[in-house]
Amino acid sequence: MSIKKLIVLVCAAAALYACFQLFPGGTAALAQTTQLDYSDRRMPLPAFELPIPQDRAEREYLGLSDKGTFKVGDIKSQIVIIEIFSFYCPICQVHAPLVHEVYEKIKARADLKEKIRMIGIAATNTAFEARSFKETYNIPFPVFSDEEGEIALLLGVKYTPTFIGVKVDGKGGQEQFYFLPKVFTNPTRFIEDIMKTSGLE
Amino acid sequence: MRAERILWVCVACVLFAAVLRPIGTAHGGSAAFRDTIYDPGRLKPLDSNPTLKVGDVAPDFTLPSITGNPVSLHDYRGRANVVISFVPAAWTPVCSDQWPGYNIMKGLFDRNDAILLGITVDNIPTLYAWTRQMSEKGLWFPVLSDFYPHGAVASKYGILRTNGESERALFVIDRKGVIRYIDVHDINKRPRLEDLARALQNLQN
Repeated sequence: MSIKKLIVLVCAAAALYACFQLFPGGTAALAQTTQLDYSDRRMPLPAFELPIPQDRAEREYLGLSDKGTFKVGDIKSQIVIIEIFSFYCPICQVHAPLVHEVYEKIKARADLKEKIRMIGIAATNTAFEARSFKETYNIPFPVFSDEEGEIALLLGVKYTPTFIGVKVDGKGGQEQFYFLPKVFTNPTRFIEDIMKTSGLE
Repeated sequence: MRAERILWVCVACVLFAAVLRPIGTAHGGSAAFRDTIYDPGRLKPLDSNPTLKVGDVAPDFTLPSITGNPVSLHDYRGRANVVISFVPAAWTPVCSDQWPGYNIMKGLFDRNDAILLGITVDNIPTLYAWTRQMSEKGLWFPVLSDFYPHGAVASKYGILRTNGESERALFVIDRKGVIRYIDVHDINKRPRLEDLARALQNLQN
């Protein structure tokens, strides 16, 4: 190969790379056919504490008995789905019924209802705002306020809503296996993806 | 020699493109406004000299709204309590969050016989496009444009900033037209919903 041809080749490669860098949307579109719309990278879930709910039914749902705080890994189930949302987020508002549907579908399946728990973390919302969202949309699972957005930051969440799947052992062990930084459109498919990615199926 | 120059130009292109990579926005922002929000960075928390205080009569005004009908403060005199939410500008980070929250809290306003008026210094088409992004159906409360004469109402309320935007401010006005609560907030932060809820409850006292 002549030096000229080599230079042309290098230039073409560089130009292509430059295009992809400048138009990341285009890159995503090209990659869409081969990539999952969620990340299935496994990693320890960063540690953070939440207050044990005052409501007895919510404590029982999570399998927690004591007062004080808990970690996601303390929840008595095999999988915890965390929704990071915001009271102020229009997409979270419109999408709330589909999240509710996920909860109902899990509850209705004998093989899943003891395996999966759901919690919501309201990023940059006060407790009052988080509660207002829960009441407005009749959210059936416990929600927690992350007033300063510290938990969202810790979990690498840039946009709401984001859904995170965590494998737990009820003794503090917590491994993230699923990360969806946007809405899902099909609750059944969402549950299937969670189960498939968890490796518990 | 020429070939070498071309190679260097290519390398420069790649480096330039790498520098232009999109920068991630703050955590926890709503995906509704992904890639459409202009981030002005951290601003001077307050940049005006408020002239009104609790107990004053609220200055009257008439402004065009995005429905096409003008809205006047005196329309509500004797009929309803009024909350005015001034936000600095459309398509900016905190403002784009604030009204979608109020949009699901109509019950809170209804319970306290209050209506909400949202005001910015933007023009009507901008406000229309921006609020449609918050909700396909639009917002339940009137959105008013204080665009021309520019910021005249914000100025009357003593909250026009030196760059022509308004402060992020809440005024609660009772049926008699008297100001009962003022929160001229740090422009970089969202006012807590519970503070407004408490101010509305206090109207009953």
